[in-house]
Amino acid sequence: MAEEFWDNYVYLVDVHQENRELRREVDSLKLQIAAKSEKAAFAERLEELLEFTSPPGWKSSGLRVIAHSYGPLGVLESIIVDKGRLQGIKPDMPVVAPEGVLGRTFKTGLNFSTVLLLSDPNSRIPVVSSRSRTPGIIVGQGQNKSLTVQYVHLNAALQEGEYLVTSGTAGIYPKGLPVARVSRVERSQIRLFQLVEAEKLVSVMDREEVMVLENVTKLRTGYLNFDGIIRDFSEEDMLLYEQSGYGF
Amino acid sequence: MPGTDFFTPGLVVLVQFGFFNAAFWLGCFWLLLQEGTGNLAFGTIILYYAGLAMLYSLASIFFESRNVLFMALLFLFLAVYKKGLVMVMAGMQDLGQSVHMNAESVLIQFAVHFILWMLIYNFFNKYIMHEFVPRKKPAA
Repeated sequence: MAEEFWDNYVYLVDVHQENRELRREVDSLKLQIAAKSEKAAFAERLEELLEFTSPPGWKSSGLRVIAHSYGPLGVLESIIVDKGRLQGIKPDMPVVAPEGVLGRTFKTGLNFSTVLLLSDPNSRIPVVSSRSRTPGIIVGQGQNKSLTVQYVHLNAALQEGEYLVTSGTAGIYPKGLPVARVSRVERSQIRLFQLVEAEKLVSVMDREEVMVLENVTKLRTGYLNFDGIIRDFSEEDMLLYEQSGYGF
Repeated sequence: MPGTDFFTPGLVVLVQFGFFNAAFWLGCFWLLLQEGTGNLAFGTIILYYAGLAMLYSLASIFFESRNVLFMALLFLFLAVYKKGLVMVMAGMQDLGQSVHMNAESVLIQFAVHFILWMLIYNFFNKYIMHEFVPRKKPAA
């Protein structure tokens, strides 16, 4: 009887205290597990980004998405990223994910930049289809809407399911980056061009990190004026540029 | 809700209860915040708040400035004015493709302003002060 009393009551005096400490420890461990899981997910996303190979003549660097479009003047389909002029970001630099193009840098602050997404109606990207090599210009139509491809000739053999890649003709994007997949093609007798719709390859809502591409070749099409004057480039630079395969 | 302003009702309530200094300084702070987060070049929010101040001052000469109907009309006009202003400014910066005058966004802005004003005004009225009291500077 005395032994039972000892085991069930006296011996258990410290159990309540021990229980509280253990619960506190469990809470702390739960927090640690959440932090580690977040780190593991972050590492996976970085691994995915590292798989991306920059086109020749372009250098990629990572950006963290810190905000989406907001405020009373948030009129564009855009995101804000954590690098700006002090980190070498300039307007009109391509912003990409491993799956494809997201948009381009639009406004740059000292430490932050705004990225104009390809779903914005002001965004225009010259593309070419992957199989039939049909050229066109891909234009955004707003949030949660498909993209349209303009100026596709009626005779062009564009088909649903084809991938659209950057044509490299605008001087902003390198050639060959995937942009969208054709989802609808309609030919009409009363139109001058085909009605083509495409779906984005990258959903910006899912992205927490993206990459910006910087043109590291000495000759950039941005340096060319409309009168075609090329300044400060030697013949050797010109030759190197022509060999890189990125024409005007 | 991108494109929607949430700060104007607070400013209006401060002015209605005579906190002009607080309204001015908060307005300056919010102005910088809103200009910084937006996609347009600096100046749009300045024009918006200037329009708000002018409209409120003019209208309160002729109408009772705390009347619910007056506030409804003021916020309706402000919603249209803001949309029009953003359209003009975006157009001047070659970004006009993104902004269109649609009734939905104007009504959302009007509803947000009006509901927030009702909440803040009633809260102020109940817990802070009941009516506008002119605060005079102490005599030297």
